[in-house]
Amino acid sequence: MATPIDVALSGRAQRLRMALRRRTGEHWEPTDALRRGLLVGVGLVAFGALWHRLDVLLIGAPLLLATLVGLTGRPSGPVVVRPLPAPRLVDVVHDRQLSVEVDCGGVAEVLALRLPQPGRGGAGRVHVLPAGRFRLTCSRGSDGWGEAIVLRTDHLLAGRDCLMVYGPVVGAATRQVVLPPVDPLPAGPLPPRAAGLVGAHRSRRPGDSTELRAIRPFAPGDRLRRVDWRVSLRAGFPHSGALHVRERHADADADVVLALDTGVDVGAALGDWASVTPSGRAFRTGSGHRSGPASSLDTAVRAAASLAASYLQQGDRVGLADLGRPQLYLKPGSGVRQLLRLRHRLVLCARSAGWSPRPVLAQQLVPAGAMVAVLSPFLDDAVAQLAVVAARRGNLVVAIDVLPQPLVADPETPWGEAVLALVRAERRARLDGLASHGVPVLRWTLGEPATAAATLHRLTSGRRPRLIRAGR
Amino acid sequence: MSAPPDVPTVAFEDLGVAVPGWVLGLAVAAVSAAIVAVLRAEGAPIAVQVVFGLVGASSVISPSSAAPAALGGAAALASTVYHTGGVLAPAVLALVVLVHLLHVSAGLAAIVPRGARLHLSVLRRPLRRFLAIQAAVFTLAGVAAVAPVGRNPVLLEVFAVLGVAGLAVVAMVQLRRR
Repeated sequence: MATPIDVALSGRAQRLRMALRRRTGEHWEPTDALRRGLLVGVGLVAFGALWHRLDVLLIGAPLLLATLVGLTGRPSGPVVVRPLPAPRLVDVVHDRQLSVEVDCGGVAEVLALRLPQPGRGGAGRVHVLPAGRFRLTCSRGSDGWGEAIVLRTDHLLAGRDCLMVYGPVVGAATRQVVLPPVDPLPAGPLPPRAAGLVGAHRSRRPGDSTELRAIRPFAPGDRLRRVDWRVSLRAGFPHSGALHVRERHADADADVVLALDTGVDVGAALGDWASVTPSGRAFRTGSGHRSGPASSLDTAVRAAASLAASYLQQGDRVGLADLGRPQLYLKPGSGVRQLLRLRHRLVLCARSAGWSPRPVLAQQLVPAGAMVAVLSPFLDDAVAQLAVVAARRGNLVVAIDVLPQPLVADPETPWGEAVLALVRAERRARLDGLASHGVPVLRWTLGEPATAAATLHRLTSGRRPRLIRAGR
Repeated sequence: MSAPPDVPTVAFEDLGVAVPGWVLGLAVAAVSAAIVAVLRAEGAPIAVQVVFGLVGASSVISPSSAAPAALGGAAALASTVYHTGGVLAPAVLALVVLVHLLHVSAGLAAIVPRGARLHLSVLRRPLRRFLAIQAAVFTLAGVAAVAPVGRNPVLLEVFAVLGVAGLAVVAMVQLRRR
């Protein structure tokens, strides 16, 4: 049995709850339309009746009637406008559908509900719909990737002739992590730098693949079917020369480390470099966020996802190193789950972009013999130096330039063109320096991933080891 | 958590044609202009027309203010000053429609943001109610047109005024019950 204290407390709690609801707008209240209908309607009808003016009475009668009709249907009952649960982690292409449960109750007639706007990020714009009880399905607004609010059911209800309103209420928000898209790449954009004993790529070790590695004199343990009779006869076998065998490469998987430069995220317009913080944006599209072209980080992330998918499809091991935040490092791994992990980690990297004072790629993060793809706009010497150091450690390093092109000078300053020329000259010197240290530089352009992959393949395929001839 | 199975599912694409929210402001402006035009036709001087025009502009800018009420009420009272024709002249009947239309459109414009999308299906029920009320009022006007003209008994007029006051009390009671 409830004590008087419990009753008092519950009454107090209820009053508090009511007060809070009143603050949030979750209650029905009259509008100016109701006051207008009553005041003007009653006033004109009374005036017309007292002063025998039928015309005034007739003008006021519809307002009075409309107000009375509006008040006969009293909005009541619980109002439910909430998003139905949606998956937290989704793909750009799939899982686009979102649902909102709507139960306006009573005689609510108009529902103003914020819904995602196709082609735009954020919570979207307000749509004014007929009220009722239904489940509304809509699509996620943005085609971009990243973590953001995709649906927030801000709403307002109105009764007949908008005489009473409920709200506006800030609705529950649905956040989603949209994984960056994977652009299909042609198979095989991988350099001949592999590790392990099985896989799709040629290893430096001898093995059982079909690709010739060397021809050397016969040694104990060699199989007879590997004897190259033609070379052996030319060498004078069986009279003076030795028996020669054909040695083949082993097949192997490759280790690839994608090094993502998250220290800067810039677009093509130099005027925005200092004023805009793109890392604070909700969704990134890669193909154009809102009005502007893709930023360097958009391009880098999409390139990383596409390269990772391509390599993982071949059975290789791919890892991710955030040069700005080493704690977001993802160890090289293989398989479909690794691709999922990597794309999720890319979203995390992009979310915390721009927080690092200097890039870091520790030696222990790069497996021996791994290929390192440094994805950066190369706007400072530190990243270029880091790539050169990685190349000196013995790794094959490929620099992937993701700066949007062409750069646009700041039109608001007379020094815009000069600054642009300076930036271009610095970058040219930096990229030339990379090339002179044996680091091939590849420009990655969104929308042309196949071209970039072909260039990557061409850059790396020129480093095949020579055929080792016996006796030389 | 899922909605009950009997709840119909509506796809966003099936909601039909939508127009920008500022169209309602345009409707308020059109109705205000029509009211001013009626007053002009009735012979209202330019100064009065300008004042009514300004109040109409205020109604467009802020439909949730007192401007629509002032415009509708003042237009009705102004018609008593400038109207010289019969009780059921076209100008009066036009004001019957226009003042009601101003009331409804301003009410809707007050809650719809200008950047919102207004799906036209939302206007179906208000339009139906508007037509029903107008039909009732025009029926009343028709009855008044055929009713004999003459002085009513005082008692009847007192009852009429009390009836109007009663309607106002009913409306207030309805409000207080909320």
